[in-house]
Amino acid sequence: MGWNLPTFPRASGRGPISGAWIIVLLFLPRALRSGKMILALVLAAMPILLVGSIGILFDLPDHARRGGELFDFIGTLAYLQFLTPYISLLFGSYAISEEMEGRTAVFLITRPVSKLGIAFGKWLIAAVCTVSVLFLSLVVFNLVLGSKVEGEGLLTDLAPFYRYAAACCAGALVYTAVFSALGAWVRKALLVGLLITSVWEVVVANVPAPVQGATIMYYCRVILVRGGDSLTVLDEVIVDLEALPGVGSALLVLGSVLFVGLLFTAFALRFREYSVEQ
Amino acid sequence: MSSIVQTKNLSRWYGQVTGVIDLTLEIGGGVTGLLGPNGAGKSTFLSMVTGQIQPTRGSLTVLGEDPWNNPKLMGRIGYSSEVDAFYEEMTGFDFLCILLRYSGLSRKVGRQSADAALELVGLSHARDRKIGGYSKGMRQRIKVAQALAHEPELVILDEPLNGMDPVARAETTRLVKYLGDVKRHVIVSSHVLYEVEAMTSQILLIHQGKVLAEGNIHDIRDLIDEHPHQVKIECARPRELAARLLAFEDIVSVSIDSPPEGDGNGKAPEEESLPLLTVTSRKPDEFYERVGKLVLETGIEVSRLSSADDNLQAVFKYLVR
Repeated sequence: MGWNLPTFPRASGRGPISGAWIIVLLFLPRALRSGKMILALVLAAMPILLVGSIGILFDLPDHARRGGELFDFIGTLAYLQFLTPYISLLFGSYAISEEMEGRTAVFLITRPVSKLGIAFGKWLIAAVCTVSVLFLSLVVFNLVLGSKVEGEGLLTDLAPFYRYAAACCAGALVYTAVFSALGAWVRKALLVGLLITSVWEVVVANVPAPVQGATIMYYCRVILVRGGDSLTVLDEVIVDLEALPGVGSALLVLGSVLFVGLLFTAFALRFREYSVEQ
Repeated sequence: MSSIVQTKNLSRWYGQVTGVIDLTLEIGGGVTGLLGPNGAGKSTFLSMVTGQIQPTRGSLTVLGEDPWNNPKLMGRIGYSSEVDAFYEEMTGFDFLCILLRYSGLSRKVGRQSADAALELVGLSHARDRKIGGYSKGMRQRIKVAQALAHEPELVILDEPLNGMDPVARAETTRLVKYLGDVKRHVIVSSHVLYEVEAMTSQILLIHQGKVLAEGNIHDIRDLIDEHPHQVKIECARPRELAARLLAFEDIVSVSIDSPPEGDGNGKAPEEESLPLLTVTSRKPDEFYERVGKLVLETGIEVSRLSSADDNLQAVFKYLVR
């Protein structure tokens, strides 16, 4: 007959950590080459183009402080309020749902890998993609702004950059977990996520009332404000600066939301019957 | 282990719709054919066996374990679903490597295993081609390869011959028989009796969610011969093939349908479907053997060969009378 059955060892299976790690290792390159990554990069290039245009059109005063103000203004509006939630939504909402909608989930769930591992791995890919895009964009943004203000490299004061990087990364980790869970439970998760992001995270977070404390954005702002000198733009947005929690408390809240998001994703994979729903 | 799959009063409903009803059965070792028309409950049953869905009622054990949320058991099962979905941008080799590493094999062993599995299904020549560029038959074969590659104890193939050309069908049929010969356990589903018969004599007849009969296929063989069998062949030069087929006595009728005209939306010519030849034969066994030979002799391009579901429906109607 000419056939020889392979005699390699049987599949040994993977636990949550090993399962998550192998998912990242195997599927991250695919995510980095995806159309979503291109779209995210285009979105992330917008603030850079904006600051570049401002630099070309207007004479920025040769003063680092003004550069810092511009960084603060664009950083808050573009990076924290727009790019962080929306890029997280782009990667997060598809983390699980693309496997379900593309009907490739069967290859993942009929293998010896724990559902928690799949959830964790898929979230990690979304988080890594989002954080990479945001961080890269922030670095280039800082370089462009620095060159316009002082004619040389990065701005002298790197503190705002670090604070924004920390706030955006923390936000990205939490948002991607929340949107992964959304994608695992809801059909058309991108649309639902858009609604949540636009109504809840953008509008509610800017309502001059204590309700803004119920948004993820609020705790990202805490990292910004408490992480250094108070910032002009946020001074006007945050209702009660005195009552603002510390960075530790904010991280605790964000960490809890992240954990719940991952748990919900794992629950969805464990208890939902995707092959039926397809 | 005497029973590979064991069920007791197994039922599954989808709201008001029944998938399987009160199934009590034991599937032993070797190759077992799960036979039933579309919508009979075959895929529902296999989805429960592979832990994708839960039974609504009753019990199910696979290799002695409950399959629902049991990742460890999944390492002992290889599953080829009937769904035609892939990571299209991956090559066949990468696809297998990824799934093997995902299943816990090392990189080196995974690569060796992927090559071995590709050879097993006759896809070594296409190992570095993207799955998106594979033909329907090749896609079916790569699905079978991923089900076998990690050397599972139980291989489950859901409609593996769907859409394969005659040559690939013959190869896959031989492969399944071979798996049985080397003492592997295989459950293979189909809605075409002749396909299953070519792979095994041990069958399970399932209709409207219930088991109608189980055991040796020869017991119902006579009934089947009473019903002319209709086969649809998507091929180039259908007139030539039809003329050659009509020379045989068992052919009852032949008809040719032209493919639907292109919609002018830039569909590539190679994606357009070929004319459809519908043949009705009184001796399906001989017909299948003959059509394969004719295709090889004449070099007529056949993109698809499928058996109309009505054939089995007719047999089942007879059985449930």
